[in-house]
Amino acid sequence: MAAREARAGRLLEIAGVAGARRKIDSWIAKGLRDAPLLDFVAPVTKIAQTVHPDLTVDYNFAQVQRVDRCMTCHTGIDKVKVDPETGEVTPLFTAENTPEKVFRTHPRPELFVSSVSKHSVGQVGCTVCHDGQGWGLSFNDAYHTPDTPEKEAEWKEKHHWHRGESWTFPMLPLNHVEASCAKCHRDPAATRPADSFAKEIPMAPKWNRGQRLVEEKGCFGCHKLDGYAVPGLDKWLGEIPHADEKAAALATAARKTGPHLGRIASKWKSEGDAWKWIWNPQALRPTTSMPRFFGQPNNSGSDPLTGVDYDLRTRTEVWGITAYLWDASEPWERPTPRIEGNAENGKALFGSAESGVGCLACHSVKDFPRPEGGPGNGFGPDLSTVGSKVGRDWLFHWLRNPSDYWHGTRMPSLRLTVAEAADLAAYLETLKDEAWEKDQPPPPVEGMVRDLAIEAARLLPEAGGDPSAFVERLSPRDRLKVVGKRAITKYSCFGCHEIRGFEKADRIGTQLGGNEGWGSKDVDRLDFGLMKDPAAVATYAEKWGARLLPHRKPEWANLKLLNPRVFDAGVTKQPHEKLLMPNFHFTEDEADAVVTYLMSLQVGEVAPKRRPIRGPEDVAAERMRWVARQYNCYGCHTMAQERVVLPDQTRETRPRGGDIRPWILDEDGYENRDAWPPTLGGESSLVPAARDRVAEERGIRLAELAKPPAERSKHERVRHPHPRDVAEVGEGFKVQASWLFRFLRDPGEMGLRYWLKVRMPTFPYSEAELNALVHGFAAADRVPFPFEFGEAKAAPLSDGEKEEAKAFFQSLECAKCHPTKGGVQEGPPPSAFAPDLNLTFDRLRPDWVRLWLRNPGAVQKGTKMPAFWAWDPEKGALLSPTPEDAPRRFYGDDAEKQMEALVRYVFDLGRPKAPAGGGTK
Amino acid sequence: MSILKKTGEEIRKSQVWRSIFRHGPPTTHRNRAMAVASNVFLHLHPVKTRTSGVRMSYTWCMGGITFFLFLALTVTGILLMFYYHPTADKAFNDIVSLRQDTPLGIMRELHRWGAHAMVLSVWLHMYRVFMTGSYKPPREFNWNVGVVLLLLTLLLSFTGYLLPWDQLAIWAVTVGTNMARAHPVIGHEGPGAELLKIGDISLVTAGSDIRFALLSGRFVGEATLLRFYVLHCIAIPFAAVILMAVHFWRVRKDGGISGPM
Amino acid sequence: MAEDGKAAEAAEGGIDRRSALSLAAGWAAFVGATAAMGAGVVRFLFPNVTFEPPQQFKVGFPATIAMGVSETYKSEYGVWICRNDEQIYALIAVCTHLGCTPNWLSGESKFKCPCHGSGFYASGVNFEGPAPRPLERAAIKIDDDGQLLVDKNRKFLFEAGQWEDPASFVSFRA
Repeated sequence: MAAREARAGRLLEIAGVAGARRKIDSWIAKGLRDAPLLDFVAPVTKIAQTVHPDLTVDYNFAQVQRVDRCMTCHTGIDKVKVDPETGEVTPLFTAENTPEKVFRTHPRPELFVSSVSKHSVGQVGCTVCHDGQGWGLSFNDAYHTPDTPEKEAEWKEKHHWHRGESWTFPMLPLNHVEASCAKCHRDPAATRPADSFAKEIPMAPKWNRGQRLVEEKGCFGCHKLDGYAVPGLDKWLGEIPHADEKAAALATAARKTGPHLGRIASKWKSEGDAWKWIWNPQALRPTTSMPRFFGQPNNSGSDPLTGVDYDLRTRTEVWGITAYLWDASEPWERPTPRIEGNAENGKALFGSAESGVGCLACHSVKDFPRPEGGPGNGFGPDLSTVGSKVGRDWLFHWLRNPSDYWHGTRMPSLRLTVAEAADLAAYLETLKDEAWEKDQPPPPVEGMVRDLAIEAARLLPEAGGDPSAFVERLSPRDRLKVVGKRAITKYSCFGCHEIRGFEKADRIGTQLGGNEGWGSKDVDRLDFGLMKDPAAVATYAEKWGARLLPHRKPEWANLKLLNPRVFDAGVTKQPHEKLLMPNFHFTEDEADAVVTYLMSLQVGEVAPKRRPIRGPEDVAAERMRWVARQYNCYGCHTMAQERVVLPDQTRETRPRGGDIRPWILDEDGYENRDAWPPTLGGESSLVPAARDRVAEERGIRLAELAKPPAERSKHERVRHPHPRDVAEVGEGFKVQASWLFRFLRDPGEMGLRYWLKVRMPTFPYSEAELNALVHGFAAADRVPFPFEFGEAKAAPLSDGEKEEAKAFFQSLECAKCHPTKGGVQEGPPPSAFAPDLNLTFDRLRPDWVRLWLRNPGAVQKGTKMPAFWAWDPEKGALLSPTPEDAPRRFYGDDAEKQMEALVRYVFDLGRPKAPAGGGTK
Repeated sequence: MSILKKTGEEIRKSQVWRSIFRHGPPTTHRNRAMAVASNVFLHLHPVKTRTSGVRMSYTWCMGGITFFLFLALTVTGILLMFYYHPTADKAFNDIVSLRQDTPLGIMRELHRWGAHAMVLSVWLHMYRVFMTGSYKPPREFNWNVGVVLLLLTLLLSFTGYLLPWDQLAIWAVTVGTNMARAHPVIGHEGPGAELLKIGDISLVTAGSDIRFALLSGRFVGEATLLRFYVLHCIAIPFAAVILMAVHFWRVRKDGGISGPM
Repeated sequence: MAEDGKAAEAAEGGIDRRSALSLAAGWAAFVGATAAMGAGVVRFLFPNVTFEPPQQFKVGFPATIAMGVSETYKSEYGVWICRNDEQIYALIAVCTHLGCTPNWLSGESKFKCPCHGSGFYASGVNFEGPAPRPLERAAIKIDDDGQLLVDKNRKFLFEAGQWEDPASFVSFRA
């Protein structure tokens, strides 16, 4: 036995060194076989290649078939062992048994390269993902690219690595390899979002993160990007002839990231405050997503060579911007007069555990530090200094109805009463930054205003070729506005904000997507400035953040994102030639993720038949998640999919579950929000047992169940093709689509859990967005949409059946927690702790209710709903909840019959009464 | 020794030997002249030449080296043709693979460096001929043949330049053939082209001028690649071989390898 | 003159030792170089890599092979993957008569060669037409990843009794 093991070990060792499974000959035979001139007969060293005629490489003048010879050296890359029982894929050559990295198996063989994976080497090859020259047979000819300076040094030493110059597609450094996922998993050529909605790629967390950062920071306001059409900036959006297509396109169109500035004068206290904000937004709110344009190394101080005083110049420009915005602002007709509120009450409403209305889901303030894993995600602005920015009056009216001030805001109405709004406004006004308020902006300098106005007037047709005379004719205020209009154009404020007078302005940044995809851009077309000169880098390191760059795109982009103006360091330019990209204050990690996204913007298309098939349900679900992201549904609710896509986010600590559900149920988070009924007893001990039981029933191993669906083995997924596993049941499976539509449109009307202080707000969804959400939930759970037939309601009980069902219902004391209004009135008064069962008929789907009764804890972790039917492992059946000594037994203690009767009874509660004489048979 | 001698004589007497060499051993002046005149490879050569005329310091052997390079380029070129497709999607890959995975991967390098060397040696040959005054009568005609051969050599070089089908090749040929636009009368941007008109219809346009014929189109494309390939492998070598035969033959007829007449 | 003297010497068949040696060395070098070049040219004619379909390839998991004859891999790899009650085997789609590619006629459960009408059973055994012997089978086995691996480099001939070789089939019951 030991000898056999030793032999196997030796074989593995040999295979690890010489490639996989080669017969070992004596060195003479080997030498002979590989001898020059004789090596065509039976060589030991052979070229291994895969050919992919339809995954072409762009040779500019031709699309050429892809040939990958990587496996000539990477001999063990696809070698795996597959467990026939579990389908588990184990790499054969790992760091443990193979010292040479080149011979090891791919680190993720279950997903890549191996013949059992989705991306098997025979199907997709290597360079589709990694890039590089597939033909290459030497280290350099393959165009390996290091991802760190250390690796570069090591390669130079070991492989005489140098940067090749004869191949347009050098290998992607490993840390950006996810950029290639986008080649197939989204359609790079289509800019119309309705056509290519893929704004998330499964199992590509870095790309997804980069993509979302681009979305949050609003890069698409200045740069043309794939899949981000912005109404206003992309005219074609309004010109789609087909109404449905237009609606779909608009539902998924991106918004400008900043607020509407059409009524700015009614929001800010003074122009001077706005000046201070524009000059340096981070001074008042360090976490704001508004980037900083001014006081950057290339537009501050004065330039001795050109004699330009940049400080004076930019300060004047900001004064121009505020002047323009103020004069373009229209008044805001406020519907109701403000009343005085109480700041203490407001504070409680804002974020206390007992009586908060839910502001913390999107916003944060210094009074309520956000606990790890708690609700909220910094989606909305940090309000810690909001009182310095805006006044009580504006706040009151804004809170009453945000959409009234800004049609298009994502801030929902919380259906606040006048008193609540007044209290909240009073509280928010107390949140101030005194030091910032004391700071006074330097007033505009008349001479500079005139100079800049003349400069701007050169481009104005109405100046009539004599800008100086034109400016002389203007009043000082108008001069300032001329300067401001030019500055807004120059800095592209309209890329993020709606500004009157800029409705037709176009993007000013370099195109990054479409037919100019940045990922396909030649590195030689980038301006590296002095960043390849060690002496210059040393000089500018401190003030400019200069960094020595290799001649590679990812490193360039990384530095550009971190220090957008750094390539101007040491370069003499006129003011209008200076780099303009503002500083978004990215962290290293964020910049790295954005670079991955940028590298994925490639020109050229993969043949449609080679792209993954996304069914209509997948597309609908994806669209739903996108809309949910736009309105920050994730601030309060969790979704299983979200966990998979973003493993490094706070979502990770949230309990998993397929449905979208309120965080007040979250046992890890805010369990002290006592708006929820106390535990009914015994429940927590029931939950794990119940989970086991359901799992056993369904033949799912618990270990599998604990994993997110995407990580489950193929084996398991074949057995469960649909997300019907208990832990994956989602909102679409739970509720009826028509009810969901009405609920999302106006949650207040529905009266679900009306006793809670925290509330589902009324979001300003458009019709198309509502449909996208409802359709998406249904599609994610593969339930019929838009037409629901018999399965949407349980069958009514006949008169004969009613009596026993009612008695059973009462014996379980459901009404203790569930108010049933017109239904059952006997027993203790409803304690208003659980949803009204009268709503069931319109709201829930019977399949879900069945599952719920069977095991509430598995469907919704931490729920207070008890599992009435316990599992008896000995009998292998569910036990009746009726106690031994109960006076009456129901349905012969048959658990299945009991549950079915209960489902039908609950549905009957809210069923409209049949009209008199109506034929019921 | 006598056996060896005897065998040698037997061989020389045999019908096979005598059918190939129809004269005695080149030990007499007559037989030497016969040996040269009756051999297809040698008959192009002068029967006699001055010792001074074959001194390396005098001829630099540049003509011979050029001819040797031509032969080497022909052999390597034929071998390269086994692996090269003159098509847009395969040409570049074939060039890469000629270096990377084709046996004896130096074949293309031999061809390429040989071509450079041949251009150089042709120039040096011409320089030498000029400096020794060997173009003077009666060799004026052969000088002219030589000049045409020089042009053919350069054209071989130019047509071969496109075949790797990389960016350098495509743009070099684009730039190079742009000169043909300016050719008088038959280039559409050249002087006189505007004179060839019927009414207001131009006869010499970008679609009908000499450059169009050269490129088989208005731009360098796959058709150009095929055209240059045929020119490079068949047409120009064919012309060069004929002219070389004339050139060598005239060397003999015009008074042998150059020396003062 | 010296040259004349030498010529006279040569005419008599007498060559001095030194010239004879250098002549021999010269010719040897010439012959050697020519031979090396010839060998090089011969080697040059054998490419190191081809764009033909590979001789070793995977054809999926045993469980996915349906009963009977599968034509899935015929056009790409030139084999039929067949399964009967006991085993899975790979038949090479080359007629043993003159090397045409036969067709599988599922209605008649036989392979029929369009060139001269040779017929073979699903097992590969010939029964009509001019084919002198059954179709050849290729080596087949289950690889580490559980998929069937066919190797056309190893062929198994019925008439040589090689179909008994366990490398020529995958036993389905095992």
